Amino acid sequence: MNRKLRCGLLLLGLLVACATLADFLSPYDPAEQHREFPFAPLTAIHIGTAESFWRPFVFNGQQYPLRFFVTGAPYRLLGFIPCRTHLFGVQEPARIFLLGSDGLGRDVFSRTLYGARLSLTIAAVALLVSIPLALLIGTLSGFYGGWIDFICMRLMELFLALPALYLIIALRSALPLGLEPEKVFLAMVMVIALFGWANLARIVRGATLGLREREFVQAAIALGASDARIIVRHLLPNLTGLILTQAALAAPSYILAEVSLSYLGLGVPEPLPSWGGMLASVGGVGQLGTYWWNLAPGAAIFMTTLAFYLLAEGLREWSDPARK
Amino acid sequence: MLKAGKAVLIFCGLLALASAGCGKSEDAKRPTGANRLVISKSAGPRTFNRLLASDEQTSSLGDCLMGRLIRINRQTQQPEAELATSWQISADGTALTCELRRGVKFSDGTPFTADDVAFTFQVLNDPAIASPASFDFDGQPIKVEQLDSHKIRFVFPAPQAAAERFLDGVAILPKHSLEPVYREGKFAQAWTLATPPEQIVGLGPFKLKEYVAGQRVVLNRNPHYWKKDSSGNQLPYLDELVFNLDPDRSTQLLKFQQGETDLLSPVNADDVAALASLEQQGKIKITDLGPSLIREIFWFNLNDGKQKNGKPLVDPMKLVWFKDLRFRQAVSHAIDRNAIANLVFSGKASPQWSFLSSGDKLWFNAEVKTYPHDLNRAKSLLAESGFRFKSETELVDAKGNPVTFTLMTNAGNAIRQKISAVIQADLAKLGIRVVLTSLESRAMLSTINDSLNYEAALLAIVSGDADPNSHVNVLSSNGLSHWWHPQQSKPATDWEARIDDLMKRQTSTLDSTERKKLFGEVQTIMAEQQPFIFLASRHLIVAAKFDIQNLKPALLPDFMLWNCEELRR
Repeated sequence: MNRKLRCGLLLLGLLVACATLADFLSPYDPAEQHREFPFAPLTAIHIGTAESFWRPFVFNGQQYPLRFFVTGAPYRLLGFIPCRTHLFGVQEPARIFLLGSDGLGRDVFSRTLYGARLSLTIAAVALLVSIPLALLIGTLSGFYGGWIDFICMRLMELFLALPALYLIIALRSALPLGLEPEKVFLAMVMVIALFGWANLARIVRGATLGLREREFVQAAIALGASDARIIVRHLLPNLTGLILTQAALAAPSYILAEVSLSYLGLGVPEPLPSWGGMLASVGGVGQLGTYWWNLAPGAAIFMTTLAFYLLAEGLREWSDPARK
Repeated sequence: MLKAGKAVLIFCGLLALASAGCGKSEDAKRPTGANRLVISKSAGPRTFNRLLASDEQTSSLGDCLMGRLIRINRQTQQPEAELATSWQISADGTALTCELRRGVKFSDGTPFTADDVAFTFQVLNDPAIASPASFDFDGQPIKVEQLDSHKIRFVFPAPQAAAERFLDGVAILPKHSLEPVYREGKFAQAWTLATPPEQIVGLGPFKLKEYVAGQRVVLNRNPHYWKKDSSGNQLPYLDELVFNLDPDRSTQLLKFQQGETDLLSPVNADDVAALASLEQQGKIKITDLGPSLIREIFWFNLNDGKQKNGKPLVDPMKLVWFKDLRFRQAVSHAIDRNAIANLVFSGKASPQWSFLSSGDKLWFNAEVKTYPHDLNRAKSLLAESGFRFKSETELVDAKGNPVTFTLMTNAGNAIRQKISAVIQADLAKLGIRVVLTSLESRAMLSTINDSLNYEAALLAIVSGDADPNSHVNVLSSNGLSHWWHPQQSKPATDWEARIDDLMKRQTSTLDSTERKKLFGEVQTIMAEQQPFIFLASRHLIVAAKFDIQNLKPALLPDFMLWNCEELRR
């Protein structure tokens, strides 16, 4: 493993951990509106109370010590363990907003963590849909050539040529109004995957075309191996590195697709926090400078994209036979 | 693959296209400050013919170019004499006689007479022209009688209260230049955006100098304008008015901050903080005019009709809740309007319960039922109606169905997104689950106007004038904007029938105290019945460069430019 791969994996691992443990790490429920604290700036954490000189505390008229493993809003850890313990918190009426609060007094830190969950899930699910599709169509097209290739290629080109954003907006207005947020999420993933597979399939086809002419494939054909066996045993294993790299490259674009959609207000509805939706609420130039901490999701998007690109670069080097 | 990068590019591309010329155009190089005002507009006019479009941009530009017989003083909200020096309403209220100003000339020097007024109304009453400014009374047009060269009488089929106010929307057209095209049947093609500027002839303080599509509209002073100030100086004071077309609000704000434009109206409550330092330096003046005529509302769909496929427009189970007065009142009580005012509008809004905003000072009825934030009251109202709590977080109706509905609003509007999040959180405390959904604006409008298959919607309504007649479209049960149940063939409920009756009576009542009483009752009913759940009226905030004098910002549009002839610097 090279350094880029390790850095990428570490960063991504960190993000995945944050997303999985979002409920535990965040001091508040992401939808909770602390209405007395709209656009609160980052809470300053001071060190050293009267009792102990190292004790961190926040100040809200008086000192409120920062406490760890506090009881707060109920949630289900990992989705099934009922739990009320949060990593840290302060006693009310003080609040702790590590990254400030938004216009409705919701904790930006908690929302950013929960947003990571949404974004990473979208990337993962969309990849799970688009990669098999791309593999299937790409290998068939590259391996058989001829009219199958012709049809598949035209299909890919169709999807590559469609103006995705407009189509998605149209799709969204065609969907029934009263769609539950979870279903909207699912629909969005499907749409993203639907537009995501074509480019991947093109790359897979290109690689398959090259592989088909290689000696070991020709040998297998000469030995009378079935098409299925050739594809599964000879082609696919050789495509692994390529697919992993391409997946790592595609993931951030899927995440950005969700961000763009939510930014336009057509993504996952409230109360589910999403990075794009959070950024949209401070989209005006007047708020940008004044309430800059609401740009935290932007930093999160940057980190995620960086993680995936490091991973892709690392994977490319790792799978490059010339370097082995 | 869906290229998000591409998507963002498309988006940015649109902005770049739309705000072309907002970089360093020649405007920026010209000195501002001289005797001109530069203003950002979100869009250009649709036409230079004020009678052919009623959108905000066309009318605000049209009012600078064209003259009217009577103008509503935006500040006092009362009519004042313009091209009519005086007017009289007959004792029975069916006729309005106007004495026209003498010695007035169009911007090309042709004298103005009663012929021009008669011609304007001929066009206005022509069904083939279908002017949005046209006015009829139960299908009958206004009759115009030309008494002499400077006297004209309008005759209405029935007594008409506040008859003179409608003249504010009627721009007087020059007969000499438009009659030939009108006779040829080409009126709609005259005075379009492609018409050479010198052909646009009007009685307003300014005339058209230049129009560059997508970039700017430039007006310069009309040398023949009739109005003089108290010391006899010819108005307008300004030589030029420049409208830059900047569709993006952020661009408008930035340009104002940079001093490239001279006025900003309205200023978003969120942006006031960004302008505060400029105000402290004395470079600009920010004025908060208090509650505007824009009211944020949400409502339940009370239509009991069917869709084309035979399915009901609203789930019958939910329609029962929505039609239940106590349900609507409970919802109204559950909403924390102060939170909306404070969180969504940074405190620059007033909670609202009544149909009118308190800014509608001539007609506002303060004595209506209010719905202070009171969860216990809401819960007891729901209990009276048979709703009960299945658990702490789930309200069910008498038959055990969980209470949930979808609230629709327009996408990309940060204010509405925030309001809907507040409503969602507040109703969750009542055990009502609100699913939020955003639609692109046009799709939303077609849903609430045509397809009608939705459960609840969040929007704003705005008054066109400070007079009860301007609300007929919303209040009458057959009105197009009677959104909770539009275009009824006959009133669906007793209280809607009562409102119809009151609205009809106030239209023909000449005594203004009596009218105020009638319209006051309409407001009482609206507050009691809560077909619209009113939330807040945002303050109108405007900002201007420090050196602009005679500004009389007001709640009626155009907020800053309605008295453009008097502005000076």
